[in-house]
Amino acid sequence: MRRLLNPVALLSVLVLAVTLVAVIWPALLAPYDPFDSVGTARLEPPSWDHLFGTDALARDVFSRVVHGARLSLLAAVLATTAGAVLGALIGLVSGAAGGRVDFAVMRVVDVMLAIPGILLALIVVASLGFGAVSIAIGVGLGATGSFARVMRAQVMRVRNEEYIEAARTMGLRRPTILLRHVLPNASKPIVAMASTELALAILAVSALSFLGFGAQPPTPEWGSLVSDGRQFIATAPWLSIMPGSVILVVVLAVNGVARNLGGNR
Amino acid sequence: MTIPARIPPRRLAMPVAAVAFATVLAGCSGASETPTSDTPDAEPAAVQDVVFALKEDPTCLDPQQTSMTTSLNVGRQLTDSLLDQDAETGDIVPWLASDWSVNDDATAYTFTLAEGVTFSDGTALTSDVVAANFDAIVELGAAASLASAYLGGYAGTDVISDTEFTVNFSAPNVQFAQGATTMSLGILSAETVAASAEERCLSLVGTGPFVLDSYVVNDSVKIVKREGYDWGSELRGHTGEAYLDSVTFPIITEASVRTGGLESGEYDLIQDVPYIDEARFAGDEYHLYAAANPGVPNAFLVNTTHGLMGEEAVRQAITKSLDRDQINVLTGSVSGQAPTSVLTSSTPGYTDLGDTLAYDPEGAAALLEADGWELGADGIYERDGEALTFTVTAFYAQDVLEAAQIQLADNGIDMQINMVSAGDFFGAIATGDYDALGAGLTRTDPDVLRVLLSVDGGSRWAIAEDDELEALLQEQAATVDTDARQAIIDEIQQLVAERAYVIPTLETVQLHASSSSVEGLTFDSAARINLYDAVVVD
Repeated sequence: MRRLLNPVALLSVLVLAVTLVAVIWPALLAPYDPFDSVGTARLEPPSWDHLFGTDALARDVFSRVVHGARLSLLAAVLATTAGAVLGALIGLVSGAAGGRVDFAVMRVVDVMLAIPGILLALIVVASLGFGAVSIAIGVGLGATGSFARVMRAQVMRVRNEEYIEAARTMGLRRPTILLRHVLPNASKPIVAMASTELALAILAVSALSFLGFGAQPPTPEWGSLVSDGRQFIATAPWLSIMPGSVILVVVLAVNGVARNLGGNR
Repeated sequence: MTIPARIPPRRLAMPVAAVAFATVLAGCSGASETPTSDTPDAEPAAVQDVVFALKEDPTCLDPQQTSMTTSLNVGRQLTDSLLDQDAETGDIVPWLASDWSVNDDATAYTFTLAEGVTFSDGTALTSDVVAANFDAIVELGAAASLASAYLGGYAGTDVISDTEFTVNFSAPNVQFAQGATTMSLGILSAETVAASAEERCLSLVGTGPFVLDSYVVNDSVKIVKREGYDWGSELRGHTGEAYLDSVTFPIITEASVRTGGLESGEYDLIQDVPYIDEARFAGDEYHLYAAANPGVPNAFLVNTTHGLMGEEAVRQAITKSLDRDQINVLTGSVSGQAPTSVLTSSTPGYTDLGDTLAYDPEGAAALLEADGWELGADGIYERDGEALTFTVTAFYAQDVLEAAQIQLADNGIDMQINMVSAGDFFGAIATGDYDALGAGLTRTDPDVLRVLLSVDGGSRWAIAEDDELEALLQEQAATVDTDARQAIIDEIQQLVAERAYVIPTLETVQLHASSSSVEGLTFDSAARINLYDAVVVD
């Protein structure tokens, strides 16, 4: 109960709920068509008609941010899921196998960890081509290393527990032990880590989209919205500041929830 | 008061600058801002060094190879051409060649070189060097696409004496005189010409009023004054050496950093001010220069061998569905205007085709419906289950494309944008894998349409496969009589606009700004910057 009353957590949940609506049903929140000009009112500052103002082609920025949520967040979720699943698998195999296999796999993971995640993502995007899916794969691959490390440590801890010994003496086969007994008991930190990684993934996805590796125009993405506003920063700063603030708030909200759910206080 | 001998007193410099400005302003269609010269006491400053922020890395400084405006803006300072062209009247005047003549069928041009011209490495400008330049361009071929196009049909240079030579062509080439005024045919030293294409990109020696000091890729370019320069063309505002001692070009890709740097005084000149910032630099503290690019305006250059672009009705519907005035309001400069032909209004030979290019959504709908297209549930035309869609590949002017996209969507045409890097753009051209390109081509001669559309054009970006057009393009290039050539060029523009091989979107205006302490910036006939007359005043 105490956790639910935490105001930060409550606020975070609220923000994420609104964001979820934007992802699932953007038309409910967005007052205008994100692709069409609203008259000739270009570069209007924020007002009640246009909460985030209008851009150079007289499109409603708020509507574009709302419609951009789907691509930006789905890419981040996909990235985190891919990173967690792949990382967990590598960690599980490596931790369970031990010996030379463990040594070899961990050196590969060391190499992955040595390369900054965003650079790894850039390499992947450059080879797979532009777009939200390649960004997701790139960012996910960048996060794989740390997931693998955490999973391996958990597997090492769990595999010496008595109930594993018991399962082994009962004659269960190794894959069964791994999947039925080791994995459930080792995965809790992975879930906690995934929720914090999600916040980082949102940032990384936005960064890559900012750099122009995302969807083709006019499809809105949070990163590309910030980037499109750049050239107007002196005359119409809200074009960049508004989408930027949305990224900030959502990342903080994800973090707020993650801290309270993950017991990582 | 002592004035350094090389800098003329203010009262001399000022009218010169004013004349130069007038030329620039007249040359472009309605510049937004008349740079004011209301500081009568201004004297040339003791320090004549300026910092000129470029918007991108020039990539290749060699003016014979590059077609990038940024690079040509630097290259112009380093090289001179055989002839010069008045930006206002289009008249061609002597420069490195003191005299020139052409035979009746435009297959042989004879030049006489000016006396005493030397390259910055000390070697003299001779007929042999010029011949070596032209031979090398033809050898470079595709690497020097513009220059090769100007030399179309080149059949060698006959050196008559050290100062006299004849350039021969296998077929009539009437645009060569204008071509010879461009820096694409700027003359480089024998040593530079002998170097490899890659080496020439990084280092070159010319006869220009400035000498390349250093070029650090992706960082900066620095040029310094050529000592003893005294062969500017009569179109320049003064004679003798350039006023500026040095020009440093830092490469600043972020527009807001350039504009901020100009405000803070870090830069004296900046290239490519965003249109949205025009009002910011309209005050007395700055000069704003709006130079309309001559040539083919920003347009969709269609590939009729690809997708739906082969259908004339579809192309015509696209051109009728574009409200060019609105595109200009949304994405253009306040000093610019909507395109009214497939040549910009500042190009010699331009014909007003405003009626053909008028916004006509009903006409577009009628064309499509007559061709079996029906408006689908999503507001986009369909025929036999196939949506009316096409893709435009481009590497700049994304806002123009997005504005066009909105208008086309309103009229039932789905346009996809494929923004790519410059490298991928030229890659697409090489493979021919595109519906349409979003681009323009700058040149001060209607022959630009041949360069862009003809089978042997060198930059055949719009693929028309139209024998009638091809014949006309070749005919204008071989027609010596001015009036007869103009008649053909009118016909070409009408044909290209009507059959919608080139679908214009915006007349590009290059917008540059300087602090008011820099005077005398001029533009050549292709709207490229010339710094020879530029001077820093107190």
